[in-house]
Amino acid sequence: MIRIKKLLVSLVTIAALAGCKSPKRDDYVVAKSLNKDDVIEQSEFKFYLDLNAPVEIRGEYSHDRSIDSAQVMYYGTPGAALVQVFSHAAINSSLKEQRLKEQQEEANRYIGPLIEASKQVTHVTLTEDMSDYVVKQLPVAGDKTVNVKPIFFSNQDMNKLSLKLIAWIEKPKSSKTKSRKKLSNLMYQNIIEVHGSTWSEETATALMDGQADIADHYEALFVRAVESLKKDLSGTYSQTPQQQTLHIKKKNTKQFLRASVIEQSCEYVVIKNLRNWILHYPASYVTNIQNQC
Amino acid sequence: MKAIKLIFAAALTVFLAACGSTPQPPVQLQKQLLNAEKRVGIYVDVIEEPTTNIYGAGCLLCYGVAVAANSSLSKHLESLPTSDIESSKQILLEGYKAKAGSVEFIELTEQEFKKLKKFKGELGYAKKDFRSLKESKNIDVLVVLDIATHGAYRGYTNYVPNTDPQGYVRGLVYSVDLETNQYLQYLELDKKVVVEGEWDEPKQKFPGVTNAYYQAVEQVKETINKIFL
Repeated sequence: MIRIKKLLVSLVTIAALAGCKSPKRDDYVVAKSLNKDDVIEQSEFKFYLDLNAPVEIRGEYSHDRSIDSAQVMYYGTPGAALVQVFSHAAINSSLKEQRLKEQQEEANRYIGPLIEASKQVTHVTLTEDMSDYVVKQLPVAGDKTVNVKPIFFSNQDMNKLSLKLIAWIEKPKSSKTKSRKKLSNLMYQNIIEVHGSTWSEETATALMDGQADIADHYEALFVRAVESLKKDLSGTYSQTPQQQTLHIKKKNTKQFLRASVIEQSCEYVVIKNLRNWILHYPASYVTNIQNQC
Repeated sequence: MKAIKLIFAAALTVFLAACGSTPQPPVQLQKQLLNAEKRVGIYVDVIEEPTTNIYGAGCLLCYGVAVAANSSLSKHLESLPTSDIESSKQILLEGYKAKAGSVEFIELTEQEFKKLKKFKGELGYAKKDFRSLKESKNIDVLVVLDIATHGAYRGYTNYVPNTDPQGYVRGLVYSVDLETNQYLQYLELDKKVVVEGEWDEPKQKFPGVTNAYYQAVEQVKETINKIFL
């Protein structure tokens, strides 16, 4: 009996310790659209971005949390066996989280030189030409100013950037609930994701060596995302056409994406995925829809 | 008594040896054996609705618990249309049309399939003797598309999941020369696609898993298309 107790204590300790390592999940949100009555006209659009915070640049990482797990033999009384099952579940869960965290860290290590080359990029440089829209004070809940948080990603080759712009508007204090769930206290939440084109070898070298202004590339993605956010808040994207499986060119392979095309131009295809996130891809990357040019 | 022991040992050896039989390796399409005079019949086995496939939940109770834990995902997957995966048969039709004179879909009832005898050939030959179909269906080459399962894959160890649900399609596509019962082409389809970000989104109808499922479907269609390249 003492043996089992010892085993359980050690299992729970391992689980608790492993649980300390948690991966970043701020690049994922559940989308929530604005009510029809709350739409924000494009002329009234304002956003808040913490200008003192550093720009976040991360490596594109694998989301695979699968782990190899040996067969486990549960023993003892039914109660003890049940505790072992829960311990097993806790350990597995921790190992999965640990794997994801390691993948995120490894992806960041890969792009170390790009992070170094992008040190001069700040939130101030991103918003240089957007002073009309930027609010410098933290918005009061309910005043319809959008909070935004940009997270940039780079591929391992460090020749392609993408941006996930997380955007949210808090409900007025009077209509906030006591719910612990963040979503129920928000009027709006979404992700605007913008993918840039792959840089040529010469461009990549020039940017890494500081011979070309890398900030322009970050700013271009940010400006596109903010323009798209304006449209989403004003109700432009409220009609969602039929879904289809899109083929997206990715290095030497193809990536597939189930989504609805909501906007198309010579330069970009804008789609709404099944999570209602808004994604922008360079038009030449979407290979199975007719080019509009 | 000795004889019984000997027979038992021999039977056990045969049984264990059968477990280790060499699986059929992939066979590239033998394009040189197809021409304008060949008549091709494509048989598509019934494609069931997508669902969650649990692997590794080793006991009956573990499996029951795993199925129950994934029931809302299964219910959602079962509501998805099968038209996307079914469209893979059109890829086969177009592919063979470019290589053979006449290509059509054929029907095979369960009884017709059961009636086919086992074929004792080496690797490279179909396990069932399809040669009788040459006359009954008036074809020279039989193409079979068998989507065994599709939807989501989730790996378990007993009661505990090792993986998050992944988009999943598993099946088999092969063609048989009805003169010799030899494979003209053989390929196992097995695509698993990891969900990007969170997967447990029941209120939003599992968009992550659904997207991964459609990705797996599209990857299978690409693989089938590559048979003809």
